Amino acid sequence: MTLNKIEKTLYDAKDLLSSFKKSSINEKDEEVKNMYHQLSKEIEDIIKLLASRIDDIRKEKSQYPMDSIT
Amino acid sequence: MMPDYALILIRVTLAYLTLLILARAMGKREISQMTFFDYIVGITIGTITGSLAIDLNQDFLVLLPAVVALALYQILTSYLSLKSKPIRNLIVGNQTMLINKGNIVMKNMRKERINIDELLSKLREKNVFSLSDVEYAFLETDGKISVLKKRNQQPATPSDLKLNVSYSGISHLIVEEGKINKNVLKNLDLTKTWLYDKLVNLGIKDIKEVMFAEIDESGQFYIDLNDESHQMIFVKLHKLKNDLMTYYFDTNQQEVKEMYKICVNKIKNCIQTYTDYDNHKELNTK
Repeated sequence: MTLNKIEKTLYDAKDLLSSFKKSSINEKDEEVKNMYHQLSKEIEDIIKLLASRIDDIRKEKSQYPMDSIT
Repeated sequence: MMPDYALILIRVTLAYLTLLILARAMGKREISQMTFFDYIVGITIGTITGSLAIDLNQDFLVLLPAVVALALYQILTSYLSLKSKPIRNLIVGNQTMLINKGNIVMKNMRKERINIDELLSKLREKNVFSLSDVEYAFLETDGKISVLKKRNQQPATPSDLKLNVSYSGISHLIVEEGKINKNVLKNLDLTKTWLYDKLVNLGIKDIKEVMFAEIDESGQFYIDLNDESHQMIFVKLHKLKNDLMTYYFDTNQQEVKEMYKICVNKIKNCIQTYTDYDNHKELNTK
């Protein structure tokens, strides 16, 4: 269940990243474009960390299937 | 003496109103749920009402009781079949088993006058393309076929995979196009204050920004905003921050806690950056 929630959060983060990337493409102002780049970078970092945490939980779950892991 | 067209107009209006009242009284059963008996009673009522509307040789007041009586009988038989199983069997009939443990029941196929081609066609409508996949098949009283596939042909369910799934139940629409459904909130024992707190927590200041908001029976809250491109970004950022903070507090592993802390800080930076941009943009607009 917790794994499902984190996967959902990862999905939300990817959705947000896609919004920022789209906004960045459509933006003409260079300063605002840079802001979207910066935001995208932060979200990409979060996505990497969450994806890595999901992998860890999956590994732990396969070893200890009855445990609840967050 | 009234001209014929005026008479017909009056009769059509009365027939229309009669049908409308009778149809409402007879219930909401959809055509797909009608039995053959319902169907023929419906046609009979329609035919008599047709005569009632346009046949000037027939006395309106003579035919009207016939239509009303048929409708009343139909309501009565529906009521009796609801209350008594023997009467239900007599009026509606029973389902007929066409395939039993993977074998076609020829006796029942002949009784229902269904041939193999028709059976295969009805199975294909249920996405079954081989008789060998079927464990049981029944011809239902409304003429449709219900099929139970063999265990190894059924899709895996969460319980097959030993997965725990949360109960969600049905969703209730609590905000629709910027307006609160007060009755729904009341039925759910929720208050406006609760809703406003929830919205503020997501960075929404005005209810009018909300296109729709719904909550399911497990308490999961879903929202969609009018302004997709801008306000929605704030909502998504706040939601992400709230989720990450929950995971931070839920875990006992120090290393994992640190990871979530980094994520929360990053998302806080994003919220700050986006808020600064939003304020700057607002100032420029003014």
